[in-house]
Amino acid sequence: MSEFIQIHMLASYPPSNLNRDDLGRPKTATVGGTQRIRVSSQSLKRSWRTSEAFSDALKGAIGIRTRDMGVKIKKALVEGRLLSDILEGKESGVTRERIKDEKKAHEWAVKISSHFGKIEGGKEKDSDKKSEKTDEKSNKNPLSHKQMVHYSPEEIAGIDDLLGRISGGEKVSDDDCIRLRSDHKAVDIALFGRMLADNAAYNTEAAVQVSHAITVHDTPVEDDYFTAVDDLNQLDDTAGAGHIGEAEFGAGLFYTYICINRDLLKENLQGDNELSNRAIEALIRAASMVSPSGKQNSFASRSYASYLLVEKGTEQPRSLAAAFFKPVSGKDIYGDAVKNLEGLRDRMDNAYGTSFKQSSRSMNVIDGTGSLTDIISFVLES
Amino acid sequence: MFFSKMTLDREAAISGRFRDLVTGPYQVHEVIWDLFADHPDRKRDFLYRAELTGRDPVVYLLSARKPVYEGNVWNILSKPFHPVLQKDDLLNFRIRVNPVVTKTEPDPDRKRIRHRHDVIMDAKRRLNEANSSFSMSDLVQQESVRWLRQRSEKGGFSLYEDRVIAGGYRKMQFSQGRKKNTISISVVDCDGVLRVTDPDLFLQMICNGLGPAKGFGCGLMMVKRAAL
Repeated sequence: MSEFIQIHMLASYPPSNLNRDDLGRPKTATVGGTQRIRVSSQSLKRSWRTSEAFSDALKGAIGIRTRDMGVKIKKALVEGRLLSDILEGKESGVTRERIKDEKKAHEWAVKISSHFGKIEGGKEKDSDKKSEKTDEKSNKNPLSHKQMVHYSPEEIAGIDDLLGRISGGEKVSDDDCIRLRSDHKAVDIALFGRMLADNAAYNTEAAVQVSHAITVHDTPVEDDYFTAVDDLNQLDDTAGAGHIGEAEFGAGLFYTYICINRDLLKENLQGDNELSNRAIEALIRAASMVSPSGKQNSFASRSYASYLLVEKGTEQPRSLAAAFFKPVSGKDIYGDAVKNLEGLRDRMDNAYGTSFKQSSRSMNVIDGTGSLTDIISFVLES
Repeated sequence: MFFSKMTLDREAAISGRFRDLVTGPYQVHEVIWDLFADHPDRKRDFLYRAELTGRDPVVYLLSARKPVYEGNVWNILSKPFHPVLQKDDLLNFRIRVNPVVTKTEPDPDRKRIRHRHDVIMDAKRRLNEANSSFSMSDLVQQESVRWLRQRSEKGGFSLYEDRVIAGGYRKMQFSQGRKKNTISISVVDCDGVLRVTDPDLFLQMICNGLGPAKGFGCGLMMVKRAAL
């Protein structure tokens, strides 16, 4: 049986964070018949994956997402430089024989990069020069992938090695290209998975599932400035109270659920227990400390999770989102949200005979109980 | 005053008919002028804000007269707008502004000595000249808040600056109807919380609009009570 680590999180985000739709309005979802603000799981995962907290903790074990691998391969061959240097944007000297025949280099780039995904293709001779001149980043470059491809560090090293052999004049076969899909240990791929539509053999099943974050309370996002006119036309009884409720300010208290399949994660990381633990720790830290899309307005957008409940065990995992089907209302939205969450957990334990409560730790910042260090050591101890 | 919400008729939305009518900011401007065109010499006595790019186009209008519309592309709902405000009332606001400053610079080659400067481009140029690095979104935030703050006292309000979000900085460029000259304005959308410091001044500001480019959908401050 697999061991699951479940993370239930309550975090209050200011509105600047929210994941916006094409009109600039926060994304929404209808839950229990009422409208809630939603932050998509992609947005959450992206913000964690790209956070410093995450990349610092996992240096050297994170892959690269690019559409331009073919372009870079060709560049590496033609300039006789290391692929890894080119990917990192390093200025570096010539380290190996240069491939003078651009056509040859182009063919190799096509051959190698197509193993990872479909490439744009197109006329090589005419359009090639033009598009390469315009910019490497140009989407129309015939060497670019049609879709973003996630490369592991091992794969990049493998390609680099292959390029070295090619420029050294060695014969390289198709088999060598296929073997590039080495068993990798890229943490981000191991956690969040990889899907290459054209080459299922290269896929990795995600070890982590992340729910969309939804507000625990009712949040009419619709531009209600029109509806509010009636309110404005009357004297406000509470005028001058001079207090902005946390829940009121559009913002919101969000529930997020994360489920890590520890065994699958370890398997994805070639059985490396130490790396797997580092990945889990980095994920918990990033999830609780990094807000989504903080970049848009780096100002008001940073907040830590206020509440964290972490459960581990081999029982079938379940989300506790049902605790918020009925929107939390009233003065103490946070307190009631925690109460509802823990209440549902207890009632589920009773109803199903599960024992999630026994194997869990929580942290409540508002009450001042628990700590992230406790939670992490609880999760990591076997 | 009247506050109105114009939404697109379902059928018009599906057929895309309205896209022919409102192909650009100038056409929007004309569509809205038409709602109030009872005689040709009217001065503008309305403010608006148009959100036309998404799936559900909507225009908000604040006007001295009730809009009159007889076509079948838009649905317009109007409400009388007579806010009863007191000092220290808290309001959520949303406003699209054209943040410029007018600078007086003697320029011997030109007749005009007063120039309008986009405050964000201005700040960007200064930072570029000083060779300092900056993030564009921070710049938009800082400069827009500064711009709003400068107008707050005269507008009868004070900002909760850490609760103001400015974003969506963009340039709108369009030609003015049959005339050839191109108009170019940059706009920023701001959302936030404010406290009313002088109800009379505040209402005046709401009715007159804030900042320039009011004819092109800027300056309408929409407000609602910040509930507890």
